[in-house]
Amino acid sequence: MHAPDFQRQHFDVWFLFTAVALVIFGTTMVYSSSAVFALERYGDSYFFLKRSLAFAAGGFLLLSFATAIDYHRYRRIVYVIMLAVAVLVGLVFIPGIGRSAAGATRWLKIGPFGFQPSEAAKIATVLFLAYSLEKKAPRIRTFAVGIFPNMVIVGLLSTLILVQKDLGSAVILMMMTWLLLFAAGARLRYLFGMLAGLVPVATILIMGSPYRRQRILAFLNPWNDQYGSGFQMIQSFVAFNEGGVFGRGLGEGQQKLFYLPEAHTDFILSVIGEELGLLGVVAIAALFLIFCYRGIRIALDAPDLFGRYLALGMTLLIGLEAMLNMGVVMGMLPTKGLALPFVSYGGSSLMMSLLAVGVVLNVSSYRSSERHAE
Amino acid sequence: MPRFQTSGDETKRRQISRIFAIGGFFAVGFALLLGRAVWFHLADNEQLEKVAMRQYRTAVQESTKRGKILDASGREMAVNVQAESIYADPRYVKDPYYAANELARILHVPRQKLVQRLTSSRKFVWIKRLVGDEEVKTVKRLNLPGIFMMNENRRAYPNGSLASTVLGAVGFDAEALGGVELKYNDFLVSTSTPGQFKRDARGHLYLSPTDASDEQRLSEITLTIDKNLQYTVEHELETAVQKASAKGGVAVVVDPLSGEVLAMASTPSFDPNHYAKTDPQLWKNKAIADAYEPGSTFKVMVIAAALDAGTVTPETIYDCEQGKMQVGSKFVRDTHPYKKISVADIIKVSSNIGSAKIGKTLSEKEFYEAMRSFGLGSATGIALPGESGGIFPQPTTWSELQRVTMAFGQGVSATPLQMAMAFAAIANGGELLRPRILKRMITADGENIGVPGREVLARPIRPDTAKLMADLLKGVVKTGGTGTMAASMEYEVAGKTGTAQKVDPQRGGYASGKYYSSFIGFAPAEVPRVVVYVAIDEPAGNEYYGGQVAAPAFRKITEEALHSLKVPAQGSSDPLIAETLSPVEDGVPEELPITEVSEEGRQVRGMGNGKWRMPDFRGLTMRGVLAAMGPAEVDLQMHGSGVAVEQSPSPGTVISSGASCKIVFKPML
Repeated sequence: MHAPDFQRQHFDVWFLFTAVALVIFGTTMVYSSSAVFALERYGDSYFFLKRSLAFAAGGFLLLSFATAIDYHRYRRIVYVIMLAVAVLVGLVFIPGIGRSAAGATRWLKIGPFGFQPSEAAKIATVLFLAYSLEKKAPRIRTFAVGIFPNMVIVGLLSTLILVQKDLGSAVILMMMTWLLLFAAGARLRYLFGMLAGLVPVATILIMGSPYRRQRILAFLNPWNDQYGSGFQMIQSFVAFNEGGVFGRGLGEGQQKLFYLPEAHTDFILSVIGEELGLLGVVAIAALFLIFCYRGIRIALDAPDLFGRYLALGMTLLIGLEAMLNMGVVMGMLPTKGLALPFVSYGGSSLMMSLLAVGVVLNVSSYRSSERHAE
Repeated sequence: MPRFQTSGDETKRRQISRIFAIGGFFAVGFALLLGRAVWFHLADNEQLEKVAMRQYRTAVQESTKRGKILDASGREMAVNVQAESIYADPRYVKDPYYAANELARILHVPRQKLVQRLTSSRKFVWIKRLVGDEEVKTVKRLNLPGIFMMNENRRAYPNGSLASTVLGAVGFDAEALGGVELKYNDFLVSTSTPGQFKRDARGHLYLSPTDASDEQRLSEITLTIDKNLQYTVEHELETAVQKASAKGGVAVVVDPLSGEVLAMASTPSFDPNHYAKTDPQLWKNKAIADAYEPGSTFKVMVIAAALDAGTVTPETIYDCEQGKMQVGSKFVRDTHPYKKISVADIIKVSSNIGSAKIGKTLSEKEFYEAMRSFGLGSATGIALPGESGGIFPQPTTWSELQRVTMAFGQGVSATPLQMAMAFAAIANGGELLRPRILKRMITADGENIGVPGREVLARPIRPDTAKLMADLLKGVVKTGGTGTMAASMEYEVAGKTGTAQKVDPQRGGYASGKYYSSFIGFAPAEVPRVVVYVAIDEPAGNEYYGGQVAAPAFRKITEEALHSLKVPAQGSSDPLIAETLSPVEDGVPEELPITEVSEEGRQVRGMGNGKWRMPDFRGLTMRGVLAAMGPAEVDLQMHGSGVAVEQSPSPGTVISSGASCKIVFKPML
């Protein structure tokens, strides 16, 4: 496919709108859920709000760049980006540069900020897969060419991330890869064969790590250890239960007052559930659903396979993470340490998500000229 | 590799359908999530409620100080004091065993409990709340790492248990637990400069963003209760209860002209400063929360109604059938057999048969309406929480026997306050007043917000009937009457004895040997200034008649109340009355007086009209209560959350369909 095959159009406004709405929603909730905690820890109740606003500003800057850059130009630098990201992920292991928090080492120190290379790795993986799957499109139904090389590269990256105790990101990467292969047309027998092969691996991974085992047990029955491993889960349930249909009112939540750990990051949906009630949760879910719908539309309308896979991959990254996060917070899935994209506090996640949105917006601004010529 | 060669169109189609499948995957996923979110709100998750309740109990918004509660003369009944609370952050406690030993010794807290707390993995544990100054100093001197102090405000009741069932109490975390404290919680916590605290999961108090640090002014509630009279009432009631080896007692003093409650006591009561050490059952204000079968005191209202309707005069003669009258297959009995006696004597000797016959002179409708206008069957509306309205069933539900027994106070129930107000209506010339407990309310800004004034609820009898009835009641305390021990040497007294058999909550029917003995009256009889109600619950000694166990306390309380109102003593108009005169025994039927309680099954069937006996709900959760209620069509009013601690009507009381039933819940801790 070459330049003459497609023409410019306006980018998808709905896709942008949902992202912006979620970021505004999120920033508000980050302030509501973190003010007291921030006041105690940093002596400044606006601590997280200020940083959130800075990240959002940075993120929208990245978004506008990405919207302006013709996505076809990424084809040439796919391997460079992949390599750079792998190096970044690896750097986390070097003492003095890597930073730990909550028993996991997954940050790089950059001045007063920490950067989570796994967030960048997700974006890079989508780029790589889009490129690779487009290139291998004619042989996508083989295992050796269509599936194996991609799985090896993504698998290596996931393993690196997994070692950093970032199970959530690794799971997202693998799920996204599997779904992209599925969309690209890989043979179902290979895809499901892989899935079957993953079951024992996953079992060993989970049962081999005491903290993961505990999370699974806490998920299965949080009441067994109400004040220990089940604490977070139960506090989250309490928040939803307290919220009712209309919530207790913005800023009125009690659960965020240290009952609910990580109220402004992974469990921000609980705070939304408590303060804005069922309506707030429905609003969030609806926004993500529109986001996914538009993302998939953009993928279907993309003028070429590279654009299609890019749009689909980025949408999958965000949509899957949102789904898994909501599932975890509502007790349908075991705890994984995933943020709610756009909404949770977290610089790397917010900026990389907005970058992804920018890339998809750029894809949406092209359409196939032949189709419209028909 | 022809096998893998596919046509472009097929690839395209496959791709598009698979991307649609991914879209479907998202749709299903989010639908499941939404379903789960809805489920959270639809499911009534008791377990979660409990966790939330336990946490929020420590997260209630606290005003730093509560408003004051004063007695009628401005003497303090409830104030605030500051005290230190000691807590620990176990992470910083170096030697938990040493610390536990020392703290247990100084603070008298079980050592084992402290070890457990100090070795826990939590970040905040209480050591002891609201500790005395000396203990705090000693602990401070030890300089233990990880042990901290926090200044807290504590509600203090300078008079200890005095009027505790009226005042209520306030918990550690500023939650009101009853009485005026609960009823006017919002008013009491509203300070002019809100310094609202919330408590975080670590137990630290923090100021919510709307703080201000100005000096706080406090709101003020002045009660109609007179502290000194309240003291006398509680003292005399306690003495009478002990003398009668009784389970408890209730006393109420009301000003019949204004409706103001001057004293209100329940014994046993509790010290609100140490409320947690007492059974929550004792927090109850029995004068308003519990309805009892009044027994013979009820005859006063029946006879007053008959006099007012003109169906009898004091001179009308009735045959009391030698103490035994057949009603259907049952008998109504008198303690002493009488033949033909006047209405005046019927009240004086408290004849059940005579009263029954007087009651019969009124039609069912007249009877019902007269009793309703005396306030029976509806709560008085006093400004206190947890009031019961007693039971006065609709005529359509009356059995033949009940129609008869109601005339002497069986098959109906009323709270002590309701009875006192009904007597007040006779004392004040025929006006049923709403009882008042509030004299004044002043906000933190110094504004006097009005409290309800004198309010006439009904006019059950004409002034001349009231006068006539008062005269008849004077006879009760005279020689030959049942209430001679209530007679005073200083003031002329009018009143009535009552000795009601108690309903057995387990078996239904009347519990043998369990009485609720009362005396209600007013003085001075000509120009009444106080109405006094005294009841002794389950006197266990040889004496159990209201005229024996309640009347002496009535006399002392009445005299004391009139002294405090500076009513000059008149000297007795009847020199024959002496305390040593033994009263004629009250008309307590010897056989089980068969009301609907004992024959419940038959009645429900016979009348096709629902009646239920109140089970004991205490200790049940809301769900438990609903389950226990079963198909009974009652108006359930549930307040608070947690487990039931209070209910009205009380267990064992019979209620009819449509009756309202109030249950108060408190968080379980």
